[in-house]
Amino acid sequence: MGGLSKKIFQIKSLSKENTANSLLVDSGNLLFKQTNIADGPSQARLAASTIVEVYKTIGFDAVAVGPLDLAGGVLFLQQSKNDNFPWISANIFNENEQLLFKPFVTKTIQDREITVFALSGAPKRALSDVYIKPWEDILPSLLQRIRKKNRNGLIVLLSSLSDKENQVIAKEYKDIHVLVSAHPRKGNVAPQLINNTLLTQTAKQGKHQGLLEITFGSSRLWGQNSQKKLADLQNSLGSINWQLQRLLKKSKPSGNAAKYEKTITRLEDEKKSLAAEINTMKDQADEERNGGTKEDNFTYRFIGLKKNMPNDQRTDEKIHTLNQEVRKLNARLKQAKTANRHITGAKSSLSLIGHNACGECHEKQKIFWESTRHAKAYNTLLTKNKNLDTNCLPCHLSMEITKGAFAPLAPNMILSYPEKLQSVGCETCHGIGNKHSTDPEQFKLVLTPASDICLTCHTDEHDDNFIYKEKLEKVSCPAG
Amino acid sequence: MQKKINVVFNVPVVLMLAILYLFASHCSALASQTEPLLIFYSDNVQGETEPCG
Repeated sequence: MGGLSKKIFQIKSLSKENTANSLLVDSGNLLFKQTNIADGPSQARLAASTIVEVYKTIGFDAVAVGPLDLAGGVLFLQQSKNDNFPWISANIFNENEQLLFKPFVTKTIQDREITVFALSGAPKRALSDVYIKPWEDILPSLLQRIRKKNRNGLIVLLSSLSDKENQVIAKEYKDIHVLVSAHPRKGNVAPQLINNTLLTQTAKQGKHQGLLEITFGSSRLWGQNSQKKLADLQNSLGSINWQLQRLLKKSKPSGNAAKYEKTITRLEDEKKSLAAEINTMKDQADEERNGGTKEDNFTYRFIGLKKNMPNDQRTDEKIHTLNQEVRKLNARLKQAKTANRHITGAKSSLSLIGHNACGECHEKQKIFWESTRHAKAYNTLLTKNKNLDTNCLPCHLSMEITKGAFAPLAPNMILSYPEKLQSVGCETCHGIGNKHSTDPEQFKLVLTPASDICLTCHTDEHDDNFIYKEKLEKVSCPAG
Repeated sequence: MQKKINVVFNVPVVLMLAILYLFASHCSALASQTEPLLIFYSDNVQGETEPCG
């Protein structure tokens, strides 16, 4: 949506105003989208190196190693670690039982110790040289170690474990005050208080920056913001009073007298208990107002990237260099693939036939398709100089889509895609046409594509105005 | 005569400035004590560098 450059501009401007009292963390899955990145040079590795370089310029306090960061192998991460990148993880070990990253970092902010530690989820890529220890084996002793150094400060966990595991940790370890998770498919999660742990995370692909604003008390326990709680209690009391008055106004029903009495008693009890709670909360609110609160309090915000937000100039320069490197690398890959095809005489293994072949029987539809933006999708990439970008190409070519995902193709296959399949052709929406072209009656294709086919490319990140029904009308071919 | 006037005029001004300075530093000390901690957090950038176009 906004890109790394806008994100960096946002972080820089937010933290510039608050350098003395702020902590900047990332809970992982920073570098890769795929779960396994092949060894050797690739676009994904070039992009990951650029992200590391850019992140280094803004002074992160801690970045957790997530399973998607391990997709490129441990060596890749260790190179950036040696270059002073603040990776942390308390459960990634080598075969000699040695930790590969710092388990935690501690920062003093206004005389308060803040310790940030990380637990990494297991990657899908098989890693021969490292293993991820289960969190249960290390968390109790690790927390003891942290508490020895940081007796009354704040403890933050950056976790790429599963939702279930995070919930269990929050329930069992109230020493952890904040848990920032990194679930790859979740959106923004407003801080949820479990026992004494605030569990939160931001939406994927860096579209939002989370901000927790913490006012310290002395007890290291989260308060529930007594003013708000007081207002809620008073509302509940008002509702009970109203119900009571309504019931008391009515004459006692003759048949249901026992039930009527029971309801009155229950409401009276609730009223008494609420009144007592309100009195306690009033005292607490007074104490908070006078600055003598014992509990910590928080407010939160998710700050979204906006399209009109300026770019960060230094990041733009680095991305420009990255794009040039990607073009060079992918041009070489494309050349090698094409040369190989000429030598072996092998034809493309793709079974798509292309819009021209479809047009032989469906001429009216082909003419209509040529007037749509789908037909110009590849040109859009050419004008942006992105026609050798393997991240962008799949949505600008005729691709087979099943269950909302592209058929897996190696980068060199995507780069050397036949010209007849450039742009989003008939087969992207209606399915592969090779069998249909030999026997249309037996092998029928889909007339109207399901929304998951469209949403493979028209995601929130790339098209925030996409409404399936409206857009379908625009690309629906004429009948006949 | 001129010197006397200067001394009479300057003493309260200096005193006032001193009091102002003390008050300002007290306020700034108070403000820094109550300043909240800000945690900026993110996750799942997933290799995203820029939109395709």
